[in-house]
Amino acid sequence: MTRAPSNKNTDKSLVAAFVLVLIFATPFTNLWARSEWPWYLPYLLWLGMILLLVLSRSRRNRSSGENRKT
Amino acid sequence: MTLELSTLFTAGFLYLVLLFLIAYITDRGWIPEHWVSHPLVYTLSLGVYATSWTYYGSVGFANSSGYLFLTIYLGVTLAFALSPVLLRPILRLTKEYQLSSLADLFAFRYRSQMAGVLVTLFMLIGALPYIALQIRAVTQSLQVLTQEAPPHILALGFCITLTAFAILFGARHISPREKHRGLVMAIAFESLVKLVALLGVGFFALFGIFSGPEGLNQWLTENPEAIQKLYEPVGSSQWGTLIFLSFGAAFLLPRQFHMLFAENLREDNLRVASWGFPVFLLLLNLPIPVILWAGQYLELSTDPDYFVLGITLAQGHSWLPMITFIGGISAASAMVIITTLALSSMCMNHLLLPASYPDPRLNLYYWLLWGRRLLIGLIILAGYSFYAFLEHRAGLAQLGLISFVAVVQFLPGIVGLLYWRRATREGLIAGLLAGISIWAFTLLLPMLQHSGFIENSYPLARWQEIAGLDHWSFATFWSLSCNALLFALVSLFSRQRKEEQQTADSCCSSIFVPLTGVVAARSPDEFKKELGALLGESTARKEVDRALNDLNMPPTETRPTELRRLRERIEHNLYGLIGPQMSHLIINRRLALDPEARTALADSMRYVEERLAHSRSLLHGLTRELDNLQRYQKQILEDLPLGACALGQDGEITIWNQVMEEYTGVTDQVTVGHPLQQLPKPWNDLLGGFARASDSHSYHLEVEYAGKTRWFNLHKAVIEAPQITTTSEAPGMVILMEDLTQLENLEAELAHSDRLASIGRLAAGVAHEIGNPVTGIASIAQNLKYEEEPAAIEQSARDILTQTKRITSIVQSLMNFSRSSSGGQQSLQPVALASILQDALDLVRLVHKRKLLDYHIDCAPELVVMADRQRLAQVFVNLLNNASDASSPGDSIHIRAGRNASQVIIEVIDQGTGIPEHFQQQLFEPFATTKATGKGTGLGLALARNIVLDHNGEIEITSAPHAGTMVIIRLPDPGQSVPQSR
Repeated sequence: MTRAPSNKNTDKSLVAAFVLVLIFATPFTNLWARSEWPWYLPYLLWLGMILLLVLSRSRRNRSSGENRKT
Repeated sequence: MTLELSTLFTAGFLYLVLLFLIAYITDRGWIPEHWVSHPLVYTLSLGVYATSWTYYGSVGFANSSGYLFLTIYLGVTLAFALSPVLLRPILRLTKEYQLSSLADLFAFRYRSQMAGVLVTLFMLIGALPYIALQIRAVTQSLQVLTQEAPPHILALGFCITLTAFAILFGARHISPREKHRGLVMAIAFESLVKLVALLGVGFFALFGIFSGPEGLNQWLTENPEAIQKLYEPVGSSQWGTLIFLSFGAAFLLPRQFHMLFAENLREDNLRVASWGFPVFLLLLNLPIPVILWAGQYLELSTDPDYFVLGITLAQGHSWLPMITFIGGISAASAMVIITTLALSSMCMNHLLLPASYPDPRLNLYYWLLWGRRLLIGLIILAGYSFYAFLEHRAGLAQLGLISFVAVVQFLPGIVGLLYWRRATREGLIAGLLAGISIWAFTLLLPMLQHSGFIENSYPLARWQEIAGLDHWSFATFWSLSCNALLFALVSLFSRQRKEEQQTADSCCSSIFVPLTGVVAARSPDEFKKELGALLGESTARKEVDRALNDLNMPPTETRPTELRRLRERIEHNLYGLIGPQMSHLIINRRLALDPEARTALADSMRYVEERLAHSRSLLHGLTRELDNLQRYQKQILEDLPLGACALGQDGEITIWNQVMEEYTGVTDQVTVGHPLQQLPKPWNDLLGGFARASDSHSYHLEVEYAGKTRWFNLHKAVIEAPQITTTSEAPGMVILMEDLTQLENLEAELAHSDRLASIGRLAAGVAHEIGNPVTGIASIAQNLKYEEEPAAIEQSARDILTQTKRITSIVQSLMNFSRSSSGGQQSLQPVALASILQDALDLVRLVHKRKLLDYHIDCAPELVVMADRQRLAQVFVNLLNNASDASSPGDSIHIRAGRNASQVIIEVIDQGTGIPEHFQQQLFEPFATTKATGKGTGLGLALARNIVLDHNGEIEITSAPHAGTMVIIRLPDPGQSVPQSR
């Protein structure tokens, strides 16, 4: 049986949120918060997180389309 | 350079007019709907999050706390990343129950007016510093641009202008629950303006001040402490706290909640916004460090909060500061307008209405409209007072963060609302009171003390030092910890009421709550009358009509399920108008449910199916599989090639499948939920009578429908599964209906064919029988020409007439036999049995004359049966033919007729060869015959049986080889009551 798309959405959103918390709200921040890095590095990381969200959304679309076909 | 105050004021005013025009043309429908409901518009409208604090204050915040300013937007990104588990469930609840604010949502879930009041008050107190922040940002931006202190009246003028526009934007319509499409469009435009303006300033800073990226890099190389200062606070205790605060503020702030949920036109827009809005925030924050460094590069004396304006002034252009100022007006006005609209709605529903409900004679809509307008003015006035009396030393970010800590106090409640069914209103209230108190003690009072309002001080800084936490982390940690702890503990130790349990189930997982009562009011008209007592007649009429329209329900509806649905819809619609708690009270009082009234199974089934269909996307795992199986089983019943009708405990129809619709021409919309007796004629008698009868099967029932005669077999069975629902107490019944009309028509054709075949067989005897009188007539005619005596001639004529009558009689018998019968119940008439038997015998004698058989009829002339004379004659012709065929020359054939208590019994007895034992089982099957090929069709007995059944009779054959055969026919005695079917 195919699982409900909403479950997939939930999984992906939880993973994305976890990665965001990991990068921005844990001691991992010490890895990137250094003055030797370019000033726009936080923005690049932030953009990466947004791309992860977009990516998970496009996969979500495809999988829900497949579910509709079955 | 400086700008004129009047020029700036005029520009700001004209900009607001432009916004109003955008809202106006959108409301008028001049902008295409697909633009208005486009995800981009929705995403941009969420940009109301970025206020003056973002627009001006971010640079100041970056100056004092480095990249800490980014936390205010990273938390939002986190909240939107969690949208499937956080925002979407709230959106569904607000859409389903028409809840327009957080106070509505809490009051609905916790079924508590007190919860609504507390949330409203706390939102109001928490929002005032934020409104004050916007007023201050605008006045100080004017000061920066004009290089002189603006008159105090200017702030008041700004507030009055905003009040007017807030009313124009959001309180122009009578009904507050309508979506403000124009407002959404205007706010989206505002977001676009501030984004373009800020990016423009950043572009100017980079290329106009640093002469491009190379210049910036060179300056950064020369000033490495600039980047170092930015990175310094990353990972500090404040860093995590502010991410958490902005995570909560992303959807709990009144303006965010309003735009995210109350003004959402399409649920799917949230999916795009879940990444689109973080992109917007990223773009908005991208120029902040560059603007800060440009200000530092220029060594501006301006407060860093206003570097955005300061750097544009430094280069001597007049248009750039003007555009920047417009961007700031955008940010401030959008926040104030949306916040006051949201707060006015909350205050109306949770403070004003419960405190003084209007007289029902007043028009409720107008009362609400003017009430909201008044509240908008009062809220902005309160914000202005806050601004006016506060010391202006606190930074923009500080004022905003106080509001953030206030709104995160609702997080425990919202988590409980979505994921903890055991949460109670007592827990919520206890937690909120604790959170509010600590928030006031740690943030609000120090701010008031700072402004000189309070004299007494307490060693807060020392406590923070002992705890090792900064100002914001200390306040957030203690307020939220105590709040969550009390919420959990008090919830666990308090008793949850039944209605709270129901809403908890609805909120946690959209679980179906079965019907538990029937509305006492029996029709929509009674609804209007009952509601009119509290809502006023015209409002009640409009609300009931609106709910009927929403549900596509006729005003004549009286079914209990439908009325229950109507009641629910009215209650949900009223949520948006007067709030959930007030609506619940009114509906419970005026449209009370009778808890003793039993809910029919049909009602529950339909209700369950509707709820399941609505929340199908939420099902997963076993529940989804179960739902699929249930749908499959239902489809089996639907596609059954027989008419299927299931009845609940009171004979109310629960299932009425497609074939049943085809047979009866009545759709399930009309039948389901009604008893069988309410079906249109003739189905009410047919099915109702059968359901009441003790027999489980009924065959060959004749029905006149749409000018045609149709025949049906009916079968029924008791459903032995009373535990399928808690509302069902007794078993129901399933009735299957089989259409025999085609078969019946085929049989009629076969019967006619059989008659024609019989005529063929009779033809020889008939020819011979006619030949004799014809010969006689010929002889008389030949002799007649020699007769001269009148008496002899007269005698000859009489003889000829006698012979011709005999011929006529024979022809008439043949014609009667061959004529096709209508074959319906309506053709049954009282006929003398003896004459039918005699007619049949006359025909049979013609065929079997040579056998010299001895026929005896023993039938009283007064014996009458209800019969189709011609069809019954065919039965006897067939039986006598069979008897004659089986008899030897000289044998006797007896036909006896008599009656017992309720039946007329006819026996046809012969002394013939009898029927072989192995053949006796298939006597009545079509085409079964013991006769030689060409002698018989095998249809005679089969047709005889059907004809007897049509006459509500029985036929039975007893036979033994070489001992003769006896055929017994039992027909109802017309003197007795005639049962409709066997």
